[in-house]
Order: sequence, then C-alpha cells, then structure tokens
Amino acid sequence: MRPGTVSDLLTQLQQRYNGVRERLCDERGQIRGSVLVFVNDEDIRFLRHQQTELRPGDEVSIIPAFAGG
Amino acid sequence: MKALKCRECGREYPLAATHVCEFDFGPLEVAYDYERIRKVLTRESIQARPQNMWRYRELLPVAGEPTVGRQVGYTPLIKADRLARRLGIRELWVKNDAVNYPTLSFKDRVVSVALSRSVELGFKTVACASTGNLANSVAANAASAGLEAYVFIPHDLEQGKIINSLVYGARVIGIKGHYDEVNRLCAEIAGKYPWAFVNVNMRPYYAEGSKSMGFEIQEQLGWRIPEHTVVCMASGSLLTKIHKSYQEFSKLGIVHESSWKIHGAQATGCNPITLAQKAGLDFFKPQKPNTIAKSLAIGTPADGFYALRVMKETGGYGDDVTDDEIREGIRLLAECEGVFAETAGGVTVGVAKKLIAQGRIPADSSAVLCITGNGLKTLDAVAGHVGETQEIRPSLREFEALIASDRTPHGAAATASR
Repeated sequence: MRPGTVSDLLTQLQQRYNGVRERLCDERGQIRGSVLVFVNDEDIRFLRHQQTELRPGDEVSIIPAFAGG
Repeated sequence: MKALKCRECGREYPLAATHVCEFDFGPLEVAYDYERIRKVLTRESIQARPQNMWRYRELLPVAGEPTVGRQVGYTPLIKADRLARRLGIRELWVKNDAVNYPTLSFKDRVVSVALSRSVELGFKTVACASTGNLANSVAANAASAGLEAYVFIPHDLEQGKIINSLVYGARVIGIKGHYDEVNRLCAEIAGKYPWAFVNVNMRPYYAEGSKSMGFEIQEQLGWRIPEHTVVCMASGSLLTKIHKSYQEFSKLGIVHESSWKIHGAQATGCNPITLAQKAGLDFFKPQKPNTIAKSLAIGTPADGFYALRVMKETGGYGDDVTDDEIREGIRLLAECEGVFAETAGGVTVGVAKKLIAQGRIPADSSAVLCITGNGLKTLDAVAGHVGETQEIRPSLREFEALIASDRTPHGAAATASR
C-alpha cells in the first residue's frame, strides 16, 4: 500500500475491497467505536487519529475493540 | 441459550466460538429463551441444587452438563457490621470471592463457563490475555480438565500471580508491555490459531459467568436485589453482568421488581471509565495505566462503554482511589471483617468509603461490595504498609516490657485505629 495517512489507507482499502469502509467507519467517516487501529503497536488515538502519518515499513493492525479482558 | 446477538445492531449468529459481529464489529452477547427458562428456574428448583454457581444453570451458556469448574462459586456473603460502622452506613454486605474455588478470585466463574463450552465445541487448547487472576484460573481449570493452556500476561505482574499460573503446567508468556498490548497480541493470535481464547473468541460465553456472582448475592440476601452495589472495573464486564443478573431475576419473577444503583470503582492511576462517568461522558478516552492495582490496569476497557451506560441508567456513580487509599481499603476490610482482599478489593472498599462520605450512597441505605480476589496474590502492594513484627527473645520479661509500652501493633506507621 502506498504511504500517506491512516485515512488514505482506508480509502485505498475501500478501492481494493469494496464495502470495507462502511464496516470500519460510521456515516460521518469516523472509525467506529468498535474498531481499534494500531500503527506499529501504538493505538492511533494516542497519535493523530486518522491523520496519523504512515511510512514505508509501518505495520497497521485493525482489530475489534470489544474483545479482551 | 438460543443464539449470539450483536449488542449494537441486533444481528444473530449461531452459538459458535465467535465474538464480534461481521457487520459492524459490535460485541456478541448470548441471547436466552426466557419464556422456556421461566418454567424451569424457580426459587424452589434453585434451592434444591448443590451450593455452587451451576444452580443457576439455565442462565449460563453451556448446552449440557458443565465439565469444568463444577465446584465453583456460592462464596460467602458476609454481613459487615464493623465495616459498616467505620464507613458510616446503616447496612453493608461483602460478597467474598477472595475465597472462590479453586483459584481465589471471581475469574473461576467466567473460566468454568468458557472452558465447559470450549470442551463442548471440541477445543483442546485454551488461552487468555490476563492481568493475573484470569491466567491463574485458566491455568488451574485447564489442568483439571486435561486441556493445554497458554496464558499471556504483562511480564511485570506480581510474583504471586506468575507462580500461581506456572505451577499448573500452563505455558506462561510474559509480554514486555502493558495489558492492552497483551490483549491486542492475543486478538491477533486468536485470529490465527484454533485455540479457545476465553476472553477473545469465547468472550460471549465467558462474560456470562460473572452473572453468577449477582445471582448468588440476590439469593443470599433472601431473594432481593441490593439497593447499592459497588463493583471494581478492569474491562467493565463484571459490572455490566451484575446488572444483567439483577435484570434477569426480575424478569423471571425470581425476585420482586425494585430499583437498584450500581457504582463503579477504579484506581486513579487507571481510571478511563470513572473519569468519563464523573465528566458525564458516554465514551472514555484510553489511558496508559500506572497503579498498584495491576488487576484493574486496563487502559482500553472492552466494556467501558457499556459500564458507563449501566451506571447512567441505574443512577450509579463512578469514582477512583489513589494507591494509598487502595492500601487503606485493604487494611480496613481486613481489620474490620477479617477478609484479606487483593488491590482490586482495596479499590472497591476505598471507593465505597468515598461514595458514602459524599452521600452518593446514603448513610441510611444498604450496600453490597463485590470483592473479587485474594490478598495473598498481591502481597507486594501492601508489603511495608501493614506494620512490622516485634521481635523479642524468648523471655517473659521482655514480652511484658513490650506490651507495657504504648506501641500499637502497627508501629510508628499506625493508621486506622480499632
């Protein structure tokens, strides 16, 4: 995937896998409360949310929020 | 049980090892056929069964007879008159899961459900992400059931909890990070390996086990719901399931309709939920934990949103206590009622003390404190804060000289007086 921001990544994912955006984001384009996004193990809410910049080699994890202890 | 249902959109799924909605990633919850249960589960049928958590079987998500944790639960509900007087409340009860069987925490409730269901679904390996007590419980109960176990914990947990998982032969993986990172890794592993992660892919079943604590409280109070319940919060799941247990017994007519308030307790060093509650928010902001209450050190609580909703709907409050207040809470409970709770218990007592002092739990009311784990597991947290032994030679004269002096057993650091 080309680097950019997390928001750009979601757009690219949507282009490749139609329908993925609406699963991950609500009508206002905000990432759903039930979804957590990590860049290199850091929750993007501790970074710059969807404006978090991505560099080549970064690892992005998208996992459900309502899981775990 | 009849299906798994998404808490957000209501979509239903079969009763398999799955925990998120495929549409919006909302959490799945077990749905029951209450009309059928009403015919079978009554005060009489409950009282005829052995004194363990399975006396409420129809409301627990296991299809057949449970195979793991058959002796779990039915822990003492103590009338805490001395603590009530110290805190300034008319009536106080302590639900003592510090002595739950077999691993001395409320986690045995959720694990026996999760593992019994895992066996039904054909799993041979079970696992969990844990702040300590869950790892102990999974390790022990898996051993008793002949299942292989992997438990994932933050590497710097209390020694007691680490040894207490290793001894059962489980694989204990210490992650160099805090709990939320352990959790995330486990979500990734659960997606890849065919294991039953009790609090990931088996979470909907696992979580239901907590209701048994609430069922027991109601039964032990003489079939009624307490006016006030104080529950500590890590993920917030226990608090939401205590609420559900009150709702279910009401709905089934096992207890009379009444109103109740549920209050949430956290440590100030990790208080995403109570901070949001005090600010009147519906959403919490994630935190990086820093507290001696390691069992509650979850900065991104999976049920934080729902716990906030329960406190709001019942008119309950959330509050948090400092490390010193936690230690004081542990001492108070021990000195007044002879119960030695771990740090999470100190949090519960400490917050109850605050809420009573603030009048949020009125002085003339009745409250139940949910004590979730045993103090022997978090000795590090109170070491150095409970006074010292007084050493003498085996001489009667030395002993008499000692007690003739004015020193209390807690030495110079005397705190709560008798």
